[in-house]
Amino acid sequence: MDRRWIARAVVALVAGCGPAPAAPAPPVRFMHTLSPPEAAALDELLAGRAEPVERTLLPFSRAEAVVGATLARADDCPDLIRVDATWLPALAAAARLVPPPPALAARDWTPAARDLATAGGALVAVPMSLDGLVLVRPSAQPAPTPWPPSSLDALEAEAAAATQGARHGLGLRVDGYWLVPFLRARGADVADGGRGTLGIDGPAAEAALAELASLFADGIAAPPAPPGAEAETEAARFHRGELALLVTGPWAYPALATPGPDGLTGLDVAAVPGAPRGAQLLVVPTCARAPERAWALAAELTAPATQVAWSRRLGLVPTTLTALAAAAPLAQATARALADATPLPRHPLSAALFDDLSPAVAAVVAGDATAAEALAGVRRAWTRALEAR
Amino acid sequence: MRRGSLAVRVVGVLALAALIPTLAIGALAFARTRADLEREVTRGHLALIRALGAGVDATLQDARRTIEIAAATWADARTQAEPTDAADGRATARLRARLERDVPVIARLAIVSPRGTPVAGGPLPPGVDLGAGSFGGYVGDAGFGDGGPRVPLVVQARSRTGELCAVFVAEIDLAFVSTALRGARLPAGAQVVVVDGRGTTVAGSDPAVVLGADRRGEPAIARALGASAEGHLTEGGVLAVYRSLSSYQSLRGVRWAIVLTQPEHDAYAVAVATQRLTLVVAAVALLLAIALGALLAARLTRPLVALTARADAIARGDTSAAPVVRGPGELGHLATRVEEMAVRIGERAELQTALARGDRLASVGVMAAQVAHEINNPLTTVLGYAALLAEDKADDHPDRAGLELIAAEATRMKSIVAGLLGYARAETAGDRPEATAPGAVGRLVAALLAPSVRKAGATLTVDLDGAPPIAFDSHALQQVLVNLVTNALHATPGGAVTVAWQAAPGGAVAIDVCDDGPGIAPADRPRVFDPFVTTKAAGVGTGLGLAVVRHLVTRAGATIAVDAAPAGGARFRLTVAAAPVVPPPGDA
Repeated sequence: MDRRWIARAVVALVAGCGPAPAAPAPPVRFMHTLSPPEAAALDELLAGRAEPVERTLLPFSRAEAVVGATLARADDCPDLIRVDATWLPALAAAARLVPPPPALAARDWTPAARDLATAGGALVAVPMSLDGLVLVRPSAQPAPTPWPPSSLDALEAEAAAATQGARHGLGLRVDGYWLVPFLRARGADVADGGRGTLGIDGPAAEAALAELASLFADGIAAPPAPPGAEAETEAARFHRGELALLVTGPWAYPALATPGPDGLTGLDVAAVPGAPRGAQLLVVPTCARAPERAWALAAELTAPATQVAWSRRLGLVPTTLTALAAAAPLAQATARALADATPLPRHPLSAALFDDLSPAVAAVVAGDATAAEALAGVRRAWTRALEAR
Repeated sequence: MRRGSLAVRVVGVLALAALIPTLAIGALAFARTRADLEREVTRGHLALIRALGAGVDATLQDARRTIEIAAATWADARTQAEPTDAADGRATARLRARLERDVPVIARLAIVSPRGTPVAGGPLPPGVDLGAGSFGGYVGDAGFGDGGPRVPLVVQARSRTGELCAVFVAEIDLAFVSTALRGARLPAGAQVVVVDGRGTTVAGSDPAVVLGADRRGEPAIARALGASAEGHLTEGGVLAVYRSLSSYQSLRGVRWAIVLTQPEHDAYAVAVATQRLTLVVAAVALLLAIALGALLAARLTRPLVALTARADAIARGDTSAAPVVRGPGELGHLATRVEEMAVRIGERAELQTALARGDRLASVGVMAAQVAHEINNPLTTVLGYAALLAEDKADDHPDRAGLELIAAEATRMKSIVAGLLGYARAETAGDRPEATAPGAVGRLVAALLAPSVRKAGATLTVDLDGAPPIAFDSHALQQVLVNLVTNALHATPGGAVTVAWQAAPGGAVAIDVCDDGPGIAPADRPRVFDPFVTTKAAGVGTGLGLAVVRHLVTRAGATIAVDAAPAGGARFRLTVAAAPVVPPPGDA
């Protein structure tokens, strides 16, 4: 036999006897509620990543329930979940979360973001972006005076003044979340499970709801959008110039603003007095199969460079001081507008409050019920919820 | 066509010129076609499953809105979930029955209180919640019962004030999804399945699909369940496109997906057929191009081949006039120029030959005159004394034979000297051609040579009577004919020699001197007119006779040529221009 064939056989034998190659690690499972533009940005970010990431999109309306049920079953568990800040208290109370590693916890998170990622006095999540309600107007149009409005009354007055013909002074959603500034302006608020207060059990809440409904009735606020088509309707009206002012959040920026070299442009942002502030957080459940790799992914998704890039592309508000300093002007303006906003009560009940508040707001705006009637039903529902807790 | 010839190379160049762009364009077209087709097929399939998904979504949305309206109407009639009396209970039962009857996708409807207690139709199915945080309702994950795949549709029943009164839970029979998929006009070999969030098959376009089967292990299903939106992959020869139905952001279930699979050979069947057809057409086109190229090359190179042959002939010295090679454009121009060049080369060669011959003849003439002058007188003396001495000797005198030999050799030497003198005279003779009657000269020549003819035992026939006057000096003509006939007699002792004339083109007169001897070999013909060139035996000729002839002929502007006589011997043809007609005096 030829010597070369013998040598090849020996090499093949030695190679065959070597250690078996390590099996590839299973992909990190990431469950999220990203909007389509955000999901596209995520896909691009992860496209060049060596370790694959399995992404699962949850409809926002079912995400809290699905996440809760999934983590309770713990048989098909994701490694990393993007959650709304209002869901965090319930997850933390159920001890479903793994705290972030010290190195990640020690990042220069903005105080507002760190606060929203904290439950029971400990950081249990990594803040991905800050959000809440802000006042938006086309920057190409003359600003109403005074700008920004110093109070909700001033905002309503400016909206009324801007209402003319087919042009409405204000864009609002028929949603309990949009009622919060009105409640707070009149001295009411949503229920606080921690203190056991309903927040809407006085005339102030009824006045706030009636005030919101009157904006629609008077034509100051644009007519309610069809259910499920709120975002598209708002964007279309905004671009047609039918809205002088729009109360919305950073999630709507990609549809409202114009992409430019320095990020999204064309929007002037100001604070909505009494607005709620929230955040999108990354959490690792206790049932995660690969928590270390999950936190590594979370670190990538919240890296300053990523946050700056997404602030330019999507208008997302960074949650680290480093990224915020270098963020797109629109994101920085939003951060300033949210500086005085107040988070919803940090209680497991808070997220579910809007299940009953939003239908009540819709009933009053539609004229099917008075504010007193609608809020009475909400009080009964919230009382049941508080009792259940 | 010979291997390596210009035509073969032209064909090769044409073939390459046709082949390279054909292959390049073909490869590019193939690559582009494949990529474009994959993109278009994927896009088309995605559009199809989007449409199918939207159709499923629309049906579910219709069911949800119908139940929503019914639930809101039902809730408006009461302030608490439970029926307050028997009539209320009957109304609730009628509503349930009507919904189950009028909305075919509803298999069963249950109503539960906000606390989850059954109001009508039984308790909540397992895994179904009241829809907290769902903005009014949702679609859950599929389950499989005796009736096939079912999915819970949860709708919160809120009163006119927005207060939650109850929750309507409808079991949606997903058979409509399979019906819709089977009614769709799917591409050849394609299958569509819908899976729920756990990878369970909910519906399929193929009746053979097992509903309820766990398909999470299939790559396309796994990819679909792990994707946020839509995408495609090709694995194991199967193209798959998928879309997460959750991306509709409707009430549809979490992680539901619709997946279309199609074998690649079906997906790209048109492309494969097109590629094959393209290959065949390209091959035929290439063959045609090569065949046409060969024809074209042969046609293009034919003048070149003829030109090459002509150049070879010119190189061999054949500068005789030949038909001009016909060719297009530059080739035709080149052929004309080559022919002109051949003519000039021939003329130059003739000129050079003539110059060389002229020099030689001039030298011979000078030499002959000198030799004749210096030798003739001593020879005359030698001959005279030899004759005188011989006269004094008796016939049997022993010296007589030697003296006669001296006289004979001296006579022979005088003959040579006379030839040289004749050549020398030819140098100066015939400068002024005159009108000469060939007939008279012919008769004179016949008389002069009669003794030689008798001596040779030959016959001589001279028939130049009737020939028109020619522009040739009479003495020169006599010398020419004497030399030619003498030469013929030497060539054909005992044979026949004829001298005849005939009209030649251009009004000239051709005088032929023919014999029936052995003739002159073609190879020797060009040299026979050179001085001192003779084919006769030694001592028979001086090699100057024909040189004198050509010299006289050339000086007279006539031509002399030699070839084979019709009888087989040699024929010398003298071609002379007719003498110009001199007008009678007084005509001027």
